Amino acid sequence: MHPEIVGVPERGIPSSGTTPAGSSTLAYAQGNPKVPQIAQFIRYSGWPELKEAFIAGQAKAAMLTAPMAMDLADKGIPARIVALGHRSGAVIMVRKESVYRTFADLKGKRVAIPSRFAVDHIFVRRLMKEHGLQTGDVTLVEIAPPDMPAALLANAVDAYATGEPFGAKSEMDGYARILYMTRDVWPTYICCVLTVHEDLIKSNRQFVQLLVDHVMSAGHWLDHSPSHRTAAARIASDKLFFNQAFELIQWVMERPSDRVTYGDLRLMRDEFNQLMQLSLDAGIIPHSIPYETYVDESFMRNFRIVNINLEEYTR
Amino acid sequence: MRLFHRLVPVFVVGILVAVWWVAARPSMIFPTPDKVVIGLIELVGKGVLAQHVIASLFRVTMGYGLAVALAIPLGSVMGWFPAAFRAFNPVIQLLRPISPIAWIPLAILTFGVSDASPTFLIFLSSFFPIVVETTSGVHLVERQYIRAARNFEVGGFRLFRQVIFLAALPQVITGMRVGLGVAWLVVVAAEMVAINSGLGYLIIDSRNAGTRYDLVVAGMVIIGVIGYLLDLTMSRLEALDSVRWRYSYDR
Repeated sequence: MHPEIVGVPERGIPSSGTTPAGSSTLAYAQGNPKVPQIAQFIRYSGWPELKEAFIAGQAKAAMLTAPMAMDLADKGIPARIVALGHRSGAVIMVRKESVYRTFADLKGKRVAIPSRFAVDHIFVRRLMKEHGLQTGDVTLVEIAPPDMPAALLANAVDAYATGEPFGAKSEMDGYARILYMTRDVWPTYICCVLTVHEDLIKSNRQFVQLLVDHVMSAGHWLDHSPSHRTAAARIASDKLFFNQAFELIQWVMERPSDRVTYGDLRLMRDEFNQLMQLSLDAGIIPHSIPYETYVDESFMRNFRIVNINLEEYTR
Repeated sequence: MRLFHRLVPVFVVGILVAVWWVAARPSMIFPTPDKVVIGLIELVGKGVLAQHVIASLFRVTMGYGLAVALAIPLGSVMGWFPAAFRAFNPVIQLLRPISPIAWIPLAILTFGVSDASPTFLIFLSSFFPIVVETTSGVHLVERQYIRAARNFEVGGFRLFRQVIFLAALPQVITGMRVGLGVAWLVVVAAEMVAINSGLGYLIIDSRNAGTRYDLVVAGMVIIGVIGYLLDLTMSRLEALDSVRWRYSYDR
């Protein structure tokens, strides 16, 4: 079997947050030197770079954001979503001493988002709608997620929305608290999705199945026990993968343990349709795209669990 | 013959565009020139192109203006007083090679997310070439000019203003020309911390937007054209009588 390149967004993503979350399951799929390598893992420096490598066919599989994958498929780039990358995992952070209790309190304030094309932007818009805020009631500021904690510290913004671990960073450093987590207000939130080039599906179906089996099994394994989450943090913090402090990744994995979840990475038509509608409302996607255009459910249906044996990391 | 000379550059640009057209046609991602023109028309139609251009020019004017205002006095002092040169030169040379991208976190911490951050980054990038050229220009003023001036009992600040600075002016202007080029060059990087406007923002935003590479290239083209016009303006300064004596070639 040929190792195929699987691209994942870097932890220091200029255009959108996300993180261990999106990529960590994949890391386990082939991160362990004792598990046979099924793919070559490459970290790109940002979403646009990853997307461009995917379009160019250099990365045959990638963790893209769901709206990005939908849009690519619509534009004739043969992209198919085959599994989710994680569930939940986006947060809205505010200063610890701030008076904000609900999103309505942020009226007239500055809220940082990674990019207007990020799912975090949709998250913010959803909260605005729920709290009766109109477009323009908050000033949205686009900042690269790694710069967000500093911007909050400097009071350059009043809140920020991002994927982990950039939320946990300011929380761990002691000056910020969580205002909202997706798990509480948007349980069906979808962000990173495992997207595969159709060429690869045609040329090597078996490999794509193996990849999906590993990613989904890694998800089960992760949510199975707290010791697995610690092991995951240990592996993912390595410089080969996220190159972040172990304590930070562990914070994301454990405080609380369902801050980001991986147990069920199946694709749900209703959830994608809901995300499509929200993307349309936010102007991220120009027109409605049918589910069949961007999703291939067959691998998920043929899923067979594989044994994830990373016992030595759990100690 | 004169007409031929004028047409040659147009011809070269034409060939480049033709090569681009042929090379981009099979690409799924890279736009052909006509797509870029359509993208430009779309931007003009929405009224955002002028907005982006003005935002970028504003930031560059502020950053560059500040750089000129601070770099010329500092460079003059460093060129004239060896002690000042010894004191400041290591710091200048140390800071000079650092890319503005590396300064972004510090810019956000210091200036927040506003026009001040990109302005600061542009200031940084154009400040150093102007300091270095001004220092060298003042330092290399021919001693005979100074001796002659002293014979006429010209001294102090008048000596500096009427002789030294004028003698160094050609090199100062070269520094300003390089500085302006660099200021415009870093506009894309600087506008990574800009809010909703600027040509750099247009490029970054269009890269994030699905497959709008026509707008990415449109932004590149506009940056190139404006950069060319700015350089043309600066080269006019070099043709002024007060400085052209220094350049050995005829313009």
